[in-house]
Amino acid sequence: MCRSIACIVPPDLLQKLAADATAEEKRLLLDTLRQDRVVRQERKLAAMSLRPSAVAGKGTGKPKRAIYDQGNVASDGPAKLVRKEGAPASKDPAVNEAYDGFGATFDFFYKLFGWDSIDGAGLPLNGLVHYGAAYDNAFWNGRSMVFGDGDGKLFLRFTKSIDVIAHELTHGVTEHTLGLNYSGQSGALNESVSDVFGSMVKQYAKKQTATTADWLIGNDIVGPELAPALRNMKSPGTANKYDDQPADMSGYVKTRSDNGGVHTNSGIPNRAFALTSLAIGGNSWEGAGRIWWATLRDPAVKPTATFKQFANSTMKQADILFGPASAQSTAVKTAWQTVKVL
Amino acid sequence: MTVGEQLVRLVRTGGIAGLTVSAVAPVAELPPVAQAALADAPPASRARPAAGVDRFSFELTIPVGPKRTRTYRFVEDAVPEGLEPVVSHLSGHLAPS
Repeated sequence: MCRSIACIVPPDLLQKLAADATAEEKRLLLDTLRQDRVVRQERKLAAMSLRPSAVAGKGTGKPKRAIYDQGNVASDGPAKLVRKEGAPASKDPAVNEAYDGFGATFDFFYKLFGWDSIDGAGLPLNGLVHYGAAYDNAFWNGRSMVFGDGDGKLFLRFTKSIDVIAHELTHGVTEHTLGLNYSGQSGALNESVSDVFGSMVKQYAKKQTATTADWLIGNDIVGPELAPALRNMKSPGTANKYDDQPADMSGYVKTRSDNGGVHTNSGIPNRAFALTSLAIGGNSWEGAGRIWWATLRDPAVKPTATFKQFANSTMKQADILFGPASAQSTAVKTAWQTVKVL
Repeated sequence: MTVGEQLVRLVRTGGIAGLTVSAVAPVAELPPVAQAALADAPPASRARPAAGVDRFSFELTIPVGPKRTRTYRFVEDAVPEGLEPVVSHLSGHLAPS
């Protein structure tokens, strides 16, 4: 970042220069020093929000996973415990996929952002597999992540996709950070945040850059009727023949269905994230990911946040983390302009 | 289906996919237990929000007279009491719409 010479000149040198300067030079140098203090303070606050010890400090940094077999009954209270933390692999792939997917997602949040589990304080990760009979869904019920087996036509078992597992776990993280209301634009942001971090967990696990990533959600869990994927973050509305996600605000869907179209309009902020990542380049979690995470930790973003309010926070976080004149800040602003939120 | 037939219709939205699926069936073709449930259908009541996120929401429309229908809106863990056989039968026939 370089909005002033403060980025390269230490504050004590600025003070020494001011002592021997003319009145006008002194005024400019002191102004620079004031700006420098603000920037350094903002950086310090941003760094604190990303440091493990500052997040909660109550967790251990180790996941506490428990996977339960619901026996194809549609009950979302834990049924039969089939694998707990540290236990050997099961013969059941759904059990192992949930266990490993939780582990990968836990590692992502902890290693990159210092966030310990769902609540930042080591909350146990409960996964319920084989929920219902041929159940075509996965959901977060506020206590557990629940996965159906799919009907084999529209959907396959929901634990097959690491991004779907991370999507559900991220709903828990959102609940414990911004607490975005699950309706209208805040609900679509809630859904988008789950796709954003779900996609990044997949990219991180597969060692993909923003350029090599497919930006698809759920391509491993769609059956022949819904192939090739649930959603396409880079190109909303193209994931499958029923995909009706808008790519920008001109297609924003006003509806009473699905809590105000939370799974439809999420395509707009999803695309903003993908465009930001692609413009910055490299690993998405090192650029756009850090900006989006800082936004999740921004107390100025309210549970009723609109797309524009969320976008404003991402731009503020980009300025703090990378500087107002940085490529990252430009990328964020351009992305939100492209999707017509700004 | 023929003209004038009484129909029941179930629409499901939401879920992680946000995919809308629906099923329509003539009342006469429902299993006897579902037809009996329709005869004792409760009044429609205000839907409560789902517990959690990515849950399914439903709209069930049933005939309550020659030209009148009633629509129930509910989440997956709050099927209107007595109408479970109707919802269960139609759920097995849902397809993207």
